[in-house]
Amino acid sequence: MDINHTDLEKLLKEDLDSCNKEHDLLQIKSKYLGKKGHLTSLFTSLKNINPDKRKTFGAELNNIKNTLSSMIEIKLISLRSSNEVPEKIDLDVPARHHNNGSHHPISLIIKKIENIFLEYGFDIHDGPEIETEHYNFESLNIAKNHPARDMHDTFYFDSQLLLRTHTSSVQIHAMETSSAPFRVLAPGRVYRCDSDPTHSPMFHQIEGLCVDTDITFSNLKWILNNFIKEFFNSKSIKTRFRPSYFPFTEPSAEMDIMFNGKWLEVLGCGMVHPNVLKNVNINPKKYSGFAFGLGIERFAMLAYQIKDLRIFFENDINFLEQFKNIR
Amino acid sequence: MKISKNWLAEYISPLKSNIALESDLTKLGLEVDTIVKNKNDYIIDIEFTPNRGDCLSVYGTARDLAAYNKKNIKKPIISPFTYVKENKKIKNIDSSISPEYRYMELKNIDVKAKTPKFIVERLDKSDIASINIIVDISNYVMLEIGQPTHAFDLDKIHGKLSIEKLQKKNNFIGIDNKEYIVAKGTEVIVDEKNIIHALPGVIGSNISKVDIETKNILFEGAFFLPDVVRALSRKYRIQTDSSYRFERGVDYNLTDFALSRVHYLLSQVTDLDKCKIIKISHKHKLTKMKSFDFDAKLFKRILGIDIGIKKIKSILIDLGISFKAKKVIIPSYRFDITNNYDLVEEVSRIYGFDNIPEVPLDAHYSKPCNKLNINEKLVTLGYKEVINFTFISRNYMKNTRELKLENPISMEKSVMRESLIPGLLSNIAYNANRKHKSINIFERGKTYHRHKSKIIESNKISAVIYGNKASTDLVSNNYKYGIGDLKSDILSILPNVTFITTDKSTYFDNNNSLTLLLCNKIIGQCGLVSHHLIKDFDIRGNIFGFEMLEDDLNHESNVIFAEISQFPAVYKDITLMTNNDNNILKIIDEIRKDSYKYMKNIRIKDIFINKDNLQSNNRSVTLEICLQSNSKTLSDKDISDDINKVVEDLKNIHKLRLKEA
Repeated sequence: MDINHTDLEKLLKEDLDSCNKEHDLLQIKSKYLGKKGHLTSLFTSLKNINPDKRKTFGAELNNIKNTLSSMIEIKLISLRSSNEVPEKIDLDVPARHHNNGSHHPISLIIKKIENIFLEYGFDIHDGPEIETEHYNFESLNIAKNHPARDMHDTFYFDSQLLLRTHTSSVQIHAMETSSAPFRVLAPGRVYRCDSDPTHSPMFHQIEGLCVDTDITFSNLKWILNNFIKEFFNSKSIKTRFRPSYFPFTEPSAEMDIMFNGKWLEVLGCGMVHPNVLKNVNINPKKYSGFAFGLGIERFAMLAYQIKDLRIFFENDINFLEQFKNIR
Repeated sequence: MKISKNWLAEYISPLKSNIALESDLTKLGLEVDTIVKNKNDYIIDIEFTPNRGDCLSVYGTARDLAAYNKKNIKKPIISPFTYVKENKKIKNIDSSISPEYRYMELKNIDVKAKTPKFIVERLDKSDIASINIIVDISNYVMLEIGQPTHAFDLDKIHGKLSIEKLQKKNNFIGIDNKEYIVAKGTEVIVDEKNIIHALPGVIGSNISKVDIETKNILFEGAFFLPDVVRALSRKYRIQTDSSYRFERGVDYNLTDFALSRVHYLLSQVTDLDKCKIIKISHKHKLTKMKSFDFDAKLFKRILGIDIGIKKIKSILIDLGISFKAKKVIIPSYRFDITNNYDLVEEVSRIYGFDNIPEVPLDAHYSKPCNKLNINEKLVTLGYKEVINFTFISRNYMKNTRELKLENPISMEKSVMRESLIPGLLSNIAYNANRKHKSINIFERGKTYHRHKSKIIESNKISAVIYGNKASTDLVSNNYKYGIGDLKSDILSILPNVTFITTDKSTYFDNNNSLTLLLCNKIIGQCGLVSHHLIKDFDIRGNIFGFEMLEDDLNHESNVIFAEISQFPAVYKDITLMTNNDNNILKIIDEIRKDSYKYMKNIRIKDIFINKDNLQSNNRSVTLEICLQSNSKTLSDKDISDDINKVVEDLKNIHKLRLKEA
């Protein structure tokens, strides 16, 4: 007995070509491979064949079986994939329960500055906002009758307790609670008894302090120039340092940046005054350091082109949501 | 301080162009506010730092400029003077008020003499009005060299003057026409009838001021101690050109020069006797010549650049500092220089900050900061961050031991907040008034309270939600925020939080608040914001919120992997008929702790309140119980054994009724 397997394949191909439903395909499958199918009948006829031909004939039958099965399998896959077109979704449906969260611009600026100084090995510190005269003034070399106290319109609770007027007090806490060397960055709220379009009774500062055995004014210039370049993302931004006065640094300087053709004061800095080091039992003959302090609102106003300081604390949603894009 | 440029040019000439001059002054640390043209002159407005008392005059500013530009400076012309021994007018001087006191008596003065035009103009450029020849010259000399002087009408003084602490309380009217009540012990200039003629260095009295009637004058030129003047100025809230200078330190060697300069200028307009000065001098640490060992090494150690000893010395000598053996001698006008660090500052100033190189810091690693970043999570959940003032109105305080400011900006900002909630409510009110229908905001910040004698500052994080869940789509617009939304957000930030009922809350409604537990520690509260509170803010509708202590959220947590069962889990629901009094959260917690063989989890799946049935037990609570074994597929019996046990316990121990199937 002989079979023309090309005939079988040809037959199957015709059947498959005309088939476009999975259900029909199952019937085709049983027609060829099922219990009463073409191939099965050929297999049953195997027992009537001459034993010495049976082996080759059987192998040939198996080949045909494999070919037909794979043809059916491929058809099945192609049928399934072409039938799986999902229903059309209305893509104009609006976002559901959607609210834009946003960080406050002050927090964004603090984070940005923190990230820059973390690269320089500074650790973030926190300090109390309600301070004693000692921490806010005396330990920072600002004696009771010092004219520099005029620069600080201080909120008092009583003769001793006050709201810190600057984050410089964190320098003292940081140096008291651990030992040199220090690289301290302290952001936080500060308070001055003043309220008009350019002054807010509460605002934010970041204090930086670096103390080690070999810290110089040259290091201060380097780090602050780099900071300004990174913050404003400009390698060509012009800066200058000019002499100033803070009781807790010597020499003291103000740093200006060239902004829209004008010098603009952005921060105060200097070498830590030896009296400040002595006040926290650090030997100024062995250690030296620099410190700087900057107003966050000033940087935020520059970065986002904000004109009025008061808007930061009005918390108007129309203002806040403008910062939704910034992480 | 405003000064005339032409006047400045009299001491140091030629003076540079305005741009170059401004640059020089800035580099010296004398900040120029403005330079404004005034006829054929310019008015330079300079802001001096408190340490530079020596520059508070035209001459002082010229002196610093001269040092910077290596130029000579001209001195003002004075009358030659002699000291006279006979002291007729001063009885007593407390050396702790004025260690150096000088005066001269001027007799038969023509007070009506006209003040020279250049003096009137220069005073005007410095915003000082012309009054009469005597006062004008006194003011002129103060502007010129920085030494305040004072002229008393000699005929108004009873007997002699004393500069001492007042022995008996008295009043006086100042030249500003205000009355001052002066307590016993206050530093004054007083005559023998206890009449006060001046607060030394601060203000003179009306009674002895020089006017048209004045014939004879006592002209005072003194060094008053900065601390005394400052204390007086603060106490009586008077700041005068005189007190401003004395507080910052006037050259103690300038008194003779000032009086003889006054004499010279006056002699140009009226006949005067020879200049005779009465000198009363006491020893004091501030009027001693200042000298200390010079430390040449400090310059490089602080500045990071080797300027060279020759250059350093040359700069210091230009500034009037002299060298004697190992010591430096500081001129009397430089109150601010007391040690080598001050010299470093001086040298760096003149050498120029621009000439100091930039040197990188050594590399250093920051301590890793593993603080939980809650801001980030809340922002992702759609919350907007706000920052509020930390002082609020007393009305929103519940604590009686409040921290109250002595000098608040206003009563609305007078007490330190003990919660962030009132601030957030004011933000809701502000934005709701501006038609925002969906508000969810948070703040991170400190709250403050007293505990015994200590002040406690706590780092807190609070959030509130109000109105519609969102306003972007109709579905959200019709969906009002509820407690479930709040809980969902809290769990998104802190998945391990558990809620337990509480019956006492300050800022949340007592009946509608939950305590938040994390690792068995109370971290805060959440719930419906108290209606009493929101009434104050004129807000309609419910506000839900939470307040947590941030420091307690940063606990170390570790995960120990649990084997994942290969066998299917079975979920069974049980529905209970309860009323609102039954605390299901607490019951679930107890059941969870009990030992059921295969119970993996139990949770509230749904709550339904049948509003048509107003009887008790109209609240049906569906619990979902999950059963699973790690070693086998559960049989029907395994399942029913456990479920039946839960049901029995709910009935018998917790006295709850089950909904009949």
